Amino acid sequence: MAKKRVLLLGLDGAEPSIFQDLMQRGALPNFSRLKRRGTYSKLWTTTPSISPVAWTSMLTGCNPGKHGNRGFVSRRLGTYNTACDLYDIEEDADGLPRYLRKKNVDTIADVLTKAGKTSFIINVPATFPPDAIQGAMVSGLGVPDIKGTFGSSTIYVSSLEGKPSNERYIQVSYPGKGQWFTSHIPGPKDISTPVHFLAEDGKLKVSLDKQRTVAEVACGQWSDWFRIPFSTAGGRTFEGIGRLKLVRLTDKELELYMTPVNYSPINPLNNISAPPDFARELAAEVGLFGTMGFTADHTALKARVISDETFIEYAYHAFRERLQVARYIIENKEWELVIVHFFLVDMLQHMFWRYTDPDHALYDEAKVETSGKIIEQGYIDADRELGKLIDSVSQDTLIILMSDHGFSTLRNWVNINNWLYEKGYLVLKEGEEEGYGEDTEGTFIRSFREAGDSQKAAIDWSRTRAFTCGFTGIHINLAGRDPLGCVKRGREYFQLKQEIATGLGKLTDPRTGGPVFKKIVPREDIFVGKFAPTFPDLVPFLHIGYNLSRENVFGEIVPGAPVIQPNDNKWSGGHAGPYTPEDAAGILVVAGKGVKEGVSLEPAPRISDLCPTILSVLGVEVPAHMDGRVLDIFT
Amino acid sequence: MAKRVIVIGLDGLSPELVFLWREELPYLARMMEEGCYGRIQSSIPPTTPPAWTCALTGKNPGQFGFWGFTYRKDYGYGEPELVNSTAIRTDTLYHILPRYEKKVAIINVPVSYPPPEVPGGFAISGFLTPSTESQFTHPATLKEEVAKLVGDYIIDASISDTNFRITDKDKVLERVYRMDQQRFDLLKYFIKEKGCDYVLAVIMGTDRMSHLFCRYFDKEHINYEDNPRYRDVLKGHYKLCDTQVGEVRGLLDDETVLIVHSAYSVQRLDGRINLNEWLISEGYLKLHRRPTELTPLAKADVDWSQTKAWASGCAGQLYVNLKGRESEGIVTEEEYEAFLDELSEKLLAITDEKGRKLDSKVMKRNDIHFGKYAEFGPDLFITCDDGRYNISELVGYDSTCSYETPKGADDGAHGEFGYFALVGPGVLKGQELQNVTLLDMAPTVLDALGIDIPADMEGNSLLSGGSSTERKAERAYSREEEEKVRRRLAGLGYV
Repeated sequence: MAKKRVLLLGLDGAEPSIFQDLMQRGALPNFSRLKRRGTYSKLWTTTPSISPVAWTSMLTGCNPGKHGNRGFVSRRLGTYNTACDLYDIEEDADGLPRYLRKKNVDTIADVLTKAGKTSFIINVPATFPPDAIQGAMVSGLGVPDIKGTFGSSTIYVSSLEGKPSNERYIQVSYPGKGQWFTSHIPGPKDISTPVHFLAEDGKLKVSLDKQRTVAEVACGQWSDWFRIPFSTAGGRTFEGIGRLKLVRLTDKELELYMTPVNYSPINPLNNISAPPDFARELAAEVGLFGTMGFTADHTALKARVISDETFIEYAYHAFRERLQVARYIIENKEWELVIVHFFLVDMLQHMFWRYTDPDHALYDEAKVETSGKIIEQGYIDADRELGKLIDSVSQDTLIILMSDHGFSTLRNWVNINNWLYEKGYLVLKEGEEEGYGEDTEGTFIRSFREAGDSQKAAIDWSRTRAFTCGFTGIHINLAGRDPLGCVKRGREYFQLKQEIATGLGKLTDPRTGGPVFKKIVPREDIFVGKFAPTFPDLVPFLHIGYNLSRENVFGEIVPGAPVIQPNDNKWSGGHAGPYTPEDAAGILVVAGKGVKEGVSLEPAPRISDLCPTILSVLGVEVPAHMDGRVLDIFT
Repeated sequence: MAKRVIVIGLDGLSPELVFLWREELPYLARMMEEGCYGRIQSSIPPTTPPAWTCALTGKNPGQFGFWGFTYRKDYGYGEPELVNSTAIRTDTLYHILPRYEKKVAIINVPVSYPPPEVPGGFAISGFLTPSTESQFTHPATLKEEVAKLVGDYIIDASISDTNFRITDKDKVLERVYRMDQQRFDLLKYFIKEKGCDYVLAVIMGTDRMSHLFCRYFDKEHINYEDNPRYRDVLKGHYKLCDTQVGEVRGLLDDETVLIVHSAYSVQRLDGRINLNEWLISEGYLKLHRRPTELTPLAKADVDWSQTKAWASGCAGQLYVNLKGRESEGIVTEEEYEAFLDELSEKLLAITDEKGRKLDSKVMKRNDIHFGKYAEFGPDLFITCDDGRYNISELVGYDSTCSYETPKGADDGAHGEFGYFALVGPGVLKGQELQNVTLLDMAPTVLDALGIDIPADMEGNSLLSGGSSTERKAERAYSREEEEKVRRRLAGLGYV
């Protein structure tokens, strides 16, 4: 009997309404065929509806209260500060970052490993550093670039004139054609590597030693990845990789874009695969590939220092690399489970929703014809390419095509902290109120992000009863729990939550007159488990179109900003809300031998159901602690 | 921090009697010397289901949803639902502790049928279990283990459909002893054999015996009877419990916190107020037709369009027929507060059948309770003579006051204060603690095990350095140590 196998393709951010619409129009022939072979449904996401949290629920079969992943940025427990919640970071002997995995429950790969089964978990968010499993894991979202950020690209320019102020620009003294000129490639901390350029025959040659050319690009073209060695003062060496796009080259002017320097799969600063050799094997088989968690340079596009085209080209290149890696594993490895994560659709939707929503602040009618179909095209390309992968596996392999959350327009940011301040729940220290409302620079943010300890912050914690930070909602400043807590447990706690919920529930958008919040729910109605108490006390679910402001996520209050602030950022599509798991649902298609055809799933499956379902297909007992249930889709 | 917490619930145990018989209860006496103890305030009302649920949740009934043996699921006038374990709509200790990898066993907790699925733990349902035919254990296989260990499991002193108050008292007595012994045997089994981190076993005997035998040892009892056969049965049962507490303590190491507590006392019953009859006589409640026999209000023919308030349950729970909430409500939201005040004033004037003014207390729900389910609770509570007057909701009596229940006499009534004692790491020694309530029990258990107390719990930990507002200084040094420290401080010029 053939071995049971499961192939899960994660199309991060695929939105049910777009997916269904395109299928009805016949634009997704492969996905439609898959759907006809099996079952299609919306897939309820987690709270918060963001990738690290949702994918951790996918991998563990647990609700976030049990797996404890709260997303990119969360409150550091026992303090009023926020911190990266994807992993813990410490400094090694060279002062370089070392990452520690935050994992509180077994993933599906751990369970399968114990059962002697092989899985390959490829680029799934929140799996960094990678886990040693039977098979291999390549880390995904969360893997930083060489500088330890989520995307610090470099733009070499002959002149800063007319450029926005941005730390990405490096001015080079461009001597014109025919002469070598030198700059550097920034690495972590103060480490960098020299780089030499030579403009010749309309092309730019790039060399690290002026002898061997590592890349050669013409205007508008991209180089392949090339390897960039770095070494510390102590002589330790590691490697990054970068790609270049020559934006502009004349006798006098030069603009050269370089991607964020990714960890090299061959000699990375920190392991991005387990076993570590697996990334090297992949590089040897399919060539160098990008390793950074975000597979596109969204921060540069947000900063308006790269073009839409550059962003799209980068994202597609990463997509093709991912496909090659997936194909290599599927065809050459023995496996029971392969999970591959694709970021393309998510990235395109974040950045280009503005071309599809006439009510978005950045909607530009003139560009609709050229750019209005970017997102759709992403789905169509995913259908074509993932279709080939699906066709390459045997018919008795169970195929799961899913997304971790859906997508929608992001028209407004909501500054809940400003509302809490206006209503007196959040109190600023004396003297600090004066500056409130006079945000002359547009950059002055009263932050407790960097404050280190609560005493330094502008917020008067001894009088503040509620505040927002992280992706999930509102924290009550509770006596006995929080360092300067002033709200008593029990009745006071309950009534304060009720009061805030009632107040926020009444809040309307001055532009539309409509409500902003869908419902405000106490934490205990959503999260169950050991880590439930680490989530905020109140979860304010927003209506579609509104997102908690980034400043609020960091726990900041934006002086003078309105509570509802129109979004004029190119980051124009969203899903983080907080939205209800239903409102931000993703997609789920399951097909394969033994799957009932055309069965509709009621109640809607949740993302935590996938793990138990896969385990049961593979004949492995579902651990009792998992929250998900095995989907009733099999004959 | 303790490694485990063992809780022995002695239902109905009265602090006054423990203090009175202290000399004859050596193990409780030792606990009081080596730990802390005192009176523990019950829930309002001090009825078995809400009281024990307050202890298990650390929350008032408004947060979990019931105030008696029945509860309102909606705002209808129909017969309210009988409580069961699923009616506890909030986290209890047996939900929270397994999340921290703690192994839990709950034995005979009053509202624990159907048996809750305690992850990795055990549950044996309490006296709301229909019969031993029912599935009354979690996991299901535990039922067989129980049978092997203790034989036929006794669910309660009475057999279903039989009022234990009119059956042969000697038989009941024997059954209570056997029943309680089973619970203690199971408790020891879960401590010794199952390695549980938290065990709560509730012993119902004291409550049952008090209800049954109060007339034989309280000379002020309306039906006092000097009968040597029964004069000391209650004390005998207290002594049995004391011995068992000693045996359980003998099984524990010094990294264990042991808690013994009741959820109210049982005291003599002096009389009964038929609250719906009173409401009828005052014109607040109107019936289309008077019933010919004693009838629960839900089955009576009430003219809701002319009813402002009604009573339900057996512990002084009053509901307002509120417009917009009840389908035929007639009291408007604007009138609500004033109506409660008017009603309170009249309730406080209620007298017994001889015209003596009762010492009554009236409480508005919104002053004492809050939470998601508070709205389903009674709007007003009344207790009379510290609970020695029971309240009946039945209609068909010919007067407001009566003593006999329809199924015979009950000797006892629940009093507002139960008894507690605890001993173990982190517990103050030899202290009588004041202002302790049942709501402090769950926070104390969590604190003892080093788990953060959830924000929605209302009580405080009773451990020293816990979240209790009142703390007392302790001697921390031996004589030699103290001498050393004093000398050092003197050297530094501080003393």
